Amino acid sequence: MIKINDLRKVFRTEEVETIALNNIAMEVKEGEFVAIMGPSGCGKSTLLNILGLLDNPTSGEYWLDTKEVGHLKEKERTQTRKGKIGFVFQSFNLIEEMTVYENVELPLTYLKVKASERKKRVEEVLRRMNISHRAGHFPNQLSGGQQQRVAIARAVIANPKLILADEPTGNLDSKNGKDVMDLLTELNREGTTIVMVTHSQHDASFAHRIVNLFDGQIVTEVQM
Amino acid sequence: MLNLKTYLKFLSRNKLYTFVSIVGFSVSLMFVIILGLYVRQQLSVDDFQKNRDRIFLMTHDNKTNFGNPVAPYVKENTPEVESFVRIVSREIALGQKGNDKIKAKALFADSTFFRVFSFKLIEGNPSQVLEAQKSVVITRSFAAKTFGAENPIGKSLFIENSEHTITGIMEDIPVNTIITDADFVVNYNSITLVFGGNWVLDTPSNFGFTMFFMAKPGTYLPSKAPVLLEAFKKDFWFFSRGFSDDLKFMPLKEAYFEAENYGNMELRHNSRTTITVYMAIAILILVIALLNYINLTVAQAGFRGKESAIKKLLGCGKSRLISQLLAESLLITAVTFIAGLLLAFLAEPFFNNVLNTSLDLAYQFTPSVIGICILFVVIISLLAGIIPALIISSFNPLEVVKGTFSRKVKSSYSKGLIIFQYTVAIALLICAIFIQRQSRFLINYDVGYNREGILEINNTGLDTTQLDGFKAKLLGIPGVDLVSFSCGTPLDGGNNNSYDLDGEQFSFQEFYVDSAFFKIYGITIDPTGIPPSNDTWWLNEKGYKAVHVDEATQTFSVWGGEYRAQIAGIFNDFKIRKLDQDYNQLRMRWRRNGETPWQIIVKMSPGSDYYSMARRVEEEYTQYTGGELFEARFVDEGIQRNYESVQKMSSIMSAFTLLTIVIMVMGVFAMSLYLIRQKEKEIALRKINGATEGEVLLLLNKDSLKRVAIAFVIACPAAYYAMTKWFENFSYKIGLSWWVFVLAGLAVLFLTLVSVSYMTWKAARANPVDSLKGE
Repeated sequence: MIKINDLRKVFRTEEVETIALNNIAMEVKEGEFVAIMGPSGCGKSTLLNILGLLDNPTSGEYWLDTKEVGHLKEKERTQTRKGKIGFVFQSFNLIEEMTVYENVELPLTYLKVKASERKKRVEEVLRRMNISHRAGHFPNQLSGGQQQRVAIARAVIANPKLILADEPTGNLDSKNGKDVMDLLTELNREGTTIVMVTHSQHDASFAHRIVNLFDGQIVTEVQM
Repeated sequence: MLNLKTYLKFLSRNKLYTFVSIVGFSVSLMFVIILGLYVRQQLSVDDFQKNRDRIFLMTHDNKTNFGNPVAPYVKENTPEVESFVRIVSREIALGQKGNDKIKAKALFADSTFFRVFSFKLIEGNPSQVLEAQKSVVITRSFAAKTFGAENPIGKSLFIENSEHTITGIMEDIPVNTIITDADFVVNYNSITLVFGGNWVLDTPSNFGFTMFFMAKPGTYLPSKAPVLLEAFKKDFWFFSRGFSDDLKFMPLKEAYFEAENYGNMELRHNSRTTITVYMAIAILILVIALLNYINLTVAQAGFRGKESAIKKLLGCGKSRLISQLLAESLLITAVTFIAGLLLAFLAEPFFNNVLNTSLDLAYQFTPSVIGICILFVVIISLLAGIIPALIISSFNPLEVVKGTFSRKVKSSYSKGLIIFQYTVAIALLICAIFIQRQSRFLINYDVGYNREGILEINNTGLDTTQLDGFKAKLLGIPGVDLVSFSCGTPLDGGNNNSYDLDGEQFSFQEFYVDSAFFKIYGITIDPTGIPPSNDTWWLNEKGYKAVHVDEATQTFSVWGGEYRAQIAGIFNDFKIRKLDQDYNQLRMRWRRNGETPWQIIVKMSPGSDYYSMARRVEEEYTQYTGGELFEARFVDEGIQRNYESVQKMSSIMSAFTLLTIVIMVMGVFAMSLYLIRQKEKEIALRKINGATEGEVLLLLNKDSLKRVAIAFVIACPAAYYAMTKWFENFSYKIGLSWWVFVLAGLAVLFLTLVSVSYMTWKAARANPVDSLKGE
């Protein structure tokens, strides 16, 4: 599903040049659950951004399915991303002015799904995430765990083949954290590919494979 | 729909932003709507006249117009002229002799009036309705007021005690025409009743009459003026003696803006400068309101930026985001426009008063104007929305992912916009203060005669035999000190007498007075030693210097040098009429026994209740004259009315300045809220590192101080230039005092600090831990 070769990402300012990713090669198969670990500043998030088509690598190849997507323009990246990749963040990133229902519905509106169909799918996913009773609430009326469940609902509503999760349990207590990890595991079991950046050894243990990054390079890969 | 719902939610959560945007914008739009419609109305004056391209006003540069026989003379000698209309507009007394009169506005016009001008007749044939002597066409509202449901055709109307017959009914005269409003139009020959004799129609040298000419189709009248001028020089002494060397046919559309400069007091007029100023004001208001809205929207773009970045992350294209944001802008513009419109309806009476018009908003909304309004809203929403839309939609979704999403927006040009607002506020404040001071200066200028407690009554009904009896009656009223009968008063300006002497042209304003006149107005005479008699004159100082006095005999030439008159004394150069009309030579003599006075002047004791005494005087007058109209004014109020246009300009400027300042204050307050929120972290760090609240406050207010200072430097020369230009209109004016500039600068600085300080004070006092925890 994902194949990257020789991937480099260099941040340049006038005085310094920082190599965030240094000739990385990596493959993620369809249906896999991969955790990326490493100390702060090792390049985890940079890698995830490139995988999520939010950023382009400085050089190297990135094959998503059968397409090389490493050097697309912003507009093309948006098109490719749409419906294919779901995002889950540490800080949830829900739109404050929208209800739970509207937040979850949003990706479908961009895919031009019909209203009746949208209603069916949003209700279904909310039920599944166990937050149907909160559909009319605004994010700031929910607990952190509930907000993250909404975020996951939003990430999966369009049935993406790939979910990218950036520290999904970082802002949650252990109980809510476990719920979120259970949800992700379940999604993975149903066939969704998941790449997750985490600091937590415990969260990483849910994955099939752990990739350890250090100073922009893959140092070890551990198959679980 | 979903997107507008989100936007509404956002607005309801950011009440300050919403309030400031909507209130500021709608009040500004109210101004723009009113001024826009006003300018439109003024520029479309007489567009409804079908013959507008063929109608010309005849003028010459002496500001005295023409004698009545000139009109038929021009028609006879100019084959291109199809017809002429002379016009006299007067307030007259309506009612039969011996009954109480009511005041009415009459327009005396030649029988061609309804053929030349396109005023609609409800009853009557345009080519016949004014043909008969003593025929009168009344307006619809006058008919309704006077006759109710009865048919007025054929009924009588007593104008100046003379019976007239109603031959037609016309629609009311609208405001968008050069022709003054009137209750009815009377056959022109009836002006003999107003002027007291047929001579007024037959004497070419009795000036002051307004005349329009309609050219035959396909001819160009203005090119005939030089030929006609030559003929005038042969046939009219005023031209042959060189008092005027100019003749012009002024197109109707131009006349509305120009005729005033040629002394046409009978006509409605406006100045192009005023229209331009109002147009400029409307545009400036619009720009300020737009900038304010843009500024506020950009300042809180960070808060909406997150939403937009998430949407982009979820697959929303940039163009779609932009169109959404523009739709929001359209929504808010439409709402504020409607609010502005409602406000405009509420404020209409105020503006009708200061603009001297009747805007009739409801009536102005024709389909084409509604179309223009919709187009206007769309354009304004685009202008207001495009910058914020571009900024908000360009937030990178990457920042959301990084979690480093910052609510900062590059505020460099926000600062520019704020400085612009300060500049406009300071400049306007300077101008408003100067205009107001000038207006007061003109009103309070020492005109050289007394003005308090003096009532001037137009003599509409007393003949010379009644004067003594009436005087005794008035002096019987407690509080009446003096009563004078005169022809001419300083305020009214007296009569004009022009002649030439040794090749020089003299123009005297003259007054025929009695001894009480001098006491009432406090005019003192420096006697020459010649005893005053019916034939001697008193001259003012300027007049005395100008007339080549023969020192030995104290005589000067009058009436073309054919006679010499003696000078009994010299009086001070008091100012007659308005200050900016300079009349140099004044002269007075005793009013002779047979001369009917034009005015009755009543001096009341200082401190008495002038208004209730004026009512007593009115009762006496009405009784004594058997119901003649009582037309009177207090001198001080008359002086004030002379400067009405400046006062109104001052009111408009003050209202506009106030609006600008309110927008500025609201804008600055709201901006400070957002800018300071962006600085919370910096403030917290400074405090943790030992900064005191005072130091933080100083730091935060320093920026405002700097911006006001920059604005001050830009505003002063701009205001100085504008005011120098404006003051060119006045021969009597105040100086451009420096302290006004400083005052305006300090006022804006003060208001800024007040509006910013609440937020800065709160920020400076906040617990730094809270701010740092937040992110």
